Amino acid sequence: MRFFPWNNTDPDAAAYIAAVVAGGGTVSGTQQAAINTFYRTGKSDGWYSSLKRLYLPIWGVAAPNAICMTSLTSGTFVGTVTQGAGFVQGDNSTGYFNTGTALHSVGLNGKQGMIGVLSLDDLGTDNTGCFTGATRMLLTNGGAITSQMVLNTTTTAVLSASFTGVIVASRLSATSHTVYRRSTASGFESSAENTVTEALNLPNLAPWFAGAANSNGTPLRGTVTGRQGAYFFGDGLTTAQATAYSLALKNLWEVSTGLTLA
Amino acid sequence: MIGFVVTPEQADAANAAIADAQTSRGMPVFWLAGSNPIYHGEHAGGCFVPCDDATLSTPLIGHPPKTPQDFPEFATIIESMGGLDARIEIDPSIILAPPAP
Repeated sequence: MRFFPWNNTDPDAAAYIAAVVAGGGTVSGTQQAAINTFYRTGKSDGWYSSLKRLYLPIWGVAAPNAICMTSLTSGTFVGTVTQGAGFVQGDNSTGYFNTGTALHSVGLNGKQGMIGVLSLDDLGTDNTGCFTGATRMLLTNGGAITSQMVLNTTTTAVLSASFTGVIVASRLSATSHTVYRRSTASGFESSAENTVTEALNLPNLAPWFAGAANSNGTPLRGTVTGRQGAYFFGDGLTTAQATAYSLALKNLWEVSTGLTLA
Repeated sequence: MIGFVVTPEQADAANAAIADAQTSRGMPVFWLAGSNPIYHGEHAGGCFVPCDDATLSTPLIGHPPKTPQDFPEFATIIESMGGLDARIEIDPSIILAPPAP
């Protein structure tokens, strides 16, 4: 099957599109072009290699929604998860997504990291990530966006903003931990940085979840109600990289779904 | 919330059969019904396997997409948990784990 009529097709874009189609997704020409642009932009901007796992669950079918854009590995939807047009949504009780990937297995060594979601709703205390006791790599919504990537839980990066848009939490060192939020093309609407020195020790005992935090192997239930159009984790991003990546992801999702982030 | 209240062993077996239905066709395990320990109430110690109409009609794979009911293993797996008529409605709070440390 040929996907692109032009010669600058990114091979990783073509492979992802082929995997989506094989799983039952329907990828229009517009969507193919958006996917190709996303990969090419990420590689030219330099943030693509930082993405260890990125899921774009917009296809309305579980199998293609479970495919990672960077590794082509499949995660697992568990419980009742709505496979919507442009998003997935848990049932606030049983549903979540298990990436099947532990942080250390993809080179996240405890010195840095990045997590995030593309969230459509500011509801409840939505969360994503994993933790084992006080060792955490977790993003939550509880009146504000809170990122915990710490050995202890006394310090976090908190952004008093709606839990909608592309939300990226990144830390590059013990003293640089920043949460970004974007819903428009014109830069970040808001960001918050925590510069308190923290010990770093990212959890590795449990794989990373979306739609629920993995609490030492058990999904933290009863907290997730919002629709999500993407979720991801990887190496820490600089502000410039987070800026470019969040814009590229926003564009990919909006062009591919015909929806608009609030 | 509608589904089956079964023993942990029954829940594990049902999910293993669902996984087998995928891997035996050369697919990764991209969907499971799940097994939710019951912490409170008369069913404490058991497991809840969600199985409402939304679960049964989840688009899983293919074009047009197959749902769980379209797989030939569906009837056997459902029967192993007592059949569709054995489903009950529960209060979601009974599967909420105690607060994390």
